[in-house]
Amino acid sequence: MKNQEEHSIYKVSNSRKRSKWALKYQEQCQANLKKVGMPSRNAEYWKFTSPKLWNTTGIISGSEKNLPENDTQYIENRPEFYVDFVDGIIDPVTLQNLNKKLKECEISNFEESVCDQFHWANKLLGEAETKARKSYERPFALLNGGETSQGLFLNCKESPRKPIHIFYSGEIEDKVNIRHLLKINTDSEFHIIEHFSGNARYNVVTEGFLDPNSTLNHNRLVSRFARNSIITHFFINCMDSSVVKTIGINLSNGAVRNETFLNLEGSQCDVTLAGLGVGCNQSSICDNAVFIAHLENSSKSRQIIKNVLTQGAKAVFQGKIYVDPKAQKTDGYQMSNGLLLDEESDFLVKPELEIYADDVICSHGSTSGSLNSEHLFYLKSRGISANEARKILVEAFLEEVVEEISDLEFSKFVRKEIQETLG
Amino acid sequence: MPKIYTEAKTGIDPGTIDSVNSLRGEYKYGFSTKIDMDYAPKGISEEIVKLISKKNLEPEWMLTWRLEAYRRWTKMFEPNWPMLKYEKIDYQDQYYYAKPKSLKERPKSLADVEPALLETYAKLGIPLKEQEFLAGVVGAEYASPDAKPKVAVDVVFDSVSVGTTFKDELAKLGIIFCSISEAIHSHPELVRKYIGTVVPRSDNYFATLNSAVFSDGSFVYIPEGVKCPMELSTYFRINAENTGQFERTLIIADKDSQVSYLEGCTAPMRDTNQLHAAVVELVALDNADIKYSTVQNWYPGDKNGKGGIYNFVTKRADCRGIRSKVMWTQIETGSAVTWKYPSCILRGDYSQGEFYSVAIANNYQQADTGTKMTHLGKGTRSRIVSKGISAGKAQNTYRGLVNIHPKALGSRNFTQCDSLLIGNRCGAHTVPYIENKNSSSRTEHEATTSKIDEDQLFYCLQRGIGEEDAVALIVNGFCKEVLQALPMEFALEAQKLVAISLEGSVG
Repeated sequence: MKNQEEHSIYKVSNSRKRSKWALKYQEQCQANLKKVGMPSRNAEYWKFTSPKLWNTTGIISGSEKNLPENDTQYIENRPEFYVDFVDGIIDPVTLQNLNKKLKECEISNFEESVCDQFHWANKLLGEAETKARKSYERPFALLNGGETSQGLFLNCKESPRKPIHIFYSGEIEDKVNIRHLLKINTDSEFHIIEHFSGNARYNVVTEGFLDPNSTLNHNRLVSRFARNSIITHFFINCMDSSVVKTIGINLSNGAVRNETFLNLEGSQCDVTLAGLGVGCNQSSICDNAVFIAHLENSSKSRQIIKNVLTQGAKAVFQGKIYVDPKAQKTDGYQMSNGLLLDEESDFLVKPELEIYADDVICSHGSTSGSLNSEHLFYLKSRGISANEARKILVEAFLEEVVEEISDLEFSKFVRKEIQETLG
Repeated sequence: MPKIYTEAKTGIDPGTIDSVNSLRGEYKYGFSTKIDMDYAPKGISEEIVKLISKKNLEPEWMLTWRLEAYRRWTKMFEPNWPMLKYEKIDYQDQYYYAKPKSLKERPKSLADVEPALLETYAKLGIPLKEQEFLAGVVGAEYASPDAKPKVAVDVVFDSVSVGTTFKDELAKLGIIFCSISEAIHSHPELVRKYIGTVVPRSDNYFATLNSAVFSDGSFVYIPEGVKCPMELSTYFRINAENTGQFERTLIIADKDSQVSYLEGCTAPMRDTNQLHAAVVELVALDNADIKYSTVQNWYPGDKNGKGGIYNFVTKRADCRGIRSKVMWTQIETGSAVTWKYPSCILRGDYSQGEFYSVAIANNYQQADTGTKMTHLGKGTRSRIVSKGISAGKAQNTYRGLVNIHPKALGSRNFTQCDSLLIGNRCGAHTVPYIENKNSSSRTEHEATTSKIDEDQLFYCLQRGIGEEDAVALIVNGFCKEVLQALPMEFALEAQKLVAISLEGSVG
């Protein structure tokens, strides 16, 4: 079995020397990781799920729903703009094709970029991560920073007309570190969609820098074909009037943790975070850890988390809205809902507010429970079978998140995938 | 005797209101009484624990119990997770035992109590109005007992209980209401059976410290089928300097019984911080109903954050019986630092826990308070309403846990925590943990943070209400849900207290 290090492309590119700024960053990550260490269960940020899940291979034995041949459906209907990561290694052909088609963005792969001493990212790499570490330690991101050689550096100068898809797939069961860096320039709009499948234990870090008045649309689909534990980090720095919309869909039966840190450094930002999880298995863990820092006035943030749980699945949501004394007129909203379909599933939430400014409107809500029996009865009384009725209600429950997806093709695809997962 | 005693019989007496008004913005209970005190040497050690036990003439089992707690405490660490910043406490620089000298012999009635002590009560006035009731006891032989609602009072002064009222009347019904040191002698079987079963000795740093050095507190036992005819009340006061108060309260409500218990606390103004680490244990058996109300008004420190009480309290109720019910109501206006999470273990099927709280933090006060509801029995219900108000440079945190066990089928929780910010230098934080582990149970949580509504304020101002009064009015409206949960006479006083606590926070 080949792994990331043994891959031929990796070896070739590695023969070039990394430039100083990249080496410095890598060393810093390693030194910091040494200092903070890998998290233990005692750490508050890991209260509900054991960090071990992401530190050791936790391959899920393929259930019937996870037939690998279905993976090909991705390959058959490829979107216009896409990049492939196979076994954690970028497919250079797809990147070349993308670069040919896409004139609005400057895209390069990680290993090439870090060898360029004057690369546009030389001051940005690790910046958003450093800010995120002020809220909580992010040892898995440090681990990624110390080891990674794969990823995309993407400088968006104008708005591409269609979203860019990134596909992660492959057979290796080892860990895979991938790091992306996005820079969205003023007045441009960028949409990125990530698809996770395959056997690898992914650790993906995405750092984003939004210039004033720019927009980042981000969707992440962890498909039912992802068979290992996955941890993603999404660290975004927002300047004045920028807009972020990040939507995570998790249909995997493995342990998935998404750490999101949105740093609203500018005023009048508008950020939306939505998360949807369907857990149908005891090994299914959907863990969302969100930190939204309002540092300047008049920004708006909205979080919606929906989880459907059955057969011993577990969902965790730790969300925090932080409001700096300077961030007057902040509008923060957070809602987490858990739908428990049987007695074995767990829904654990910690929705936090930390507020130091008085002229704000901040609220959070959280509910958990089973399907409303009256709704079920209504549907059944109209001749819909109990099973069908349950399905309709579950889909309706999740729809609030799905409808947030701005790309119609993708939302259609997500709906289909949810239906498949629910069976 | 001061005049207010005689006027006290109709609602809130005008004297109290006047004295409140004349003292607006200041801490009303900041006087200290010069009483000769009997101190144990400063610091904590096994010898001190033995001395406290000896002073209370405790049996051997109690001493062993204390010593085990002390040994464990020496190996424990102070918790660092609360959102509180305070100077490190020097546990060796505290007196763990202080007793008014005149109380070498336990007084038979309040008539035996030193006049200086009684004067202290006279000055205290609201919120508990003990002074009038205490006076009522002194003159109980000739006053008509039906003249006013009765409240039986136990007073704990520094380390010891100085008097309990209406004891005989309660005894007729089989109710035991006395100081815990007395209960250890007179009802050892009950104390031994229940003490430490709700808050174990090893529970947390402060509870373990309390287990080792607690000197007194209240003990209540309501026998089967008895509905306690009057409010029971304990009044705590720290008087001596550098003294920690470590009281322990144990309330047992036997099957089908009912009791309402009030607790009030004050302390003199001191430049140094004083420590208060109490433990309250409630046991509710089948169908029992306990209502526990607190008005905590310890000295909060001055405007610059100097002095004030460090309040570290462990309060827990165990709803052991089916359909038992516990209701916690707290008005937290005092203390420099508050660390307090009155909680309910809903063990009995269909048991019910409620928590109503108003926490007001002004100037440099810090409050980290909330509740824990642990649902273990079937069909258990809990309701949490928490209102936090921050003004000045204060920090107010709600920290709560709702845990629904897989076996707690059909359980229900509702949580609402609202925060109000007055001024832009204070903070309001919400840290709830919600853990639902079965599908037939439902949890609901909602929280909001906002400032005083400008329209409401404008409306009041326009009608000639001053800004401070308007703020007090609006805040009282904000807290209404909780204030309504208090016993009647308490609620009126609490409203005043809310207004006083917010003095100087506007403008």
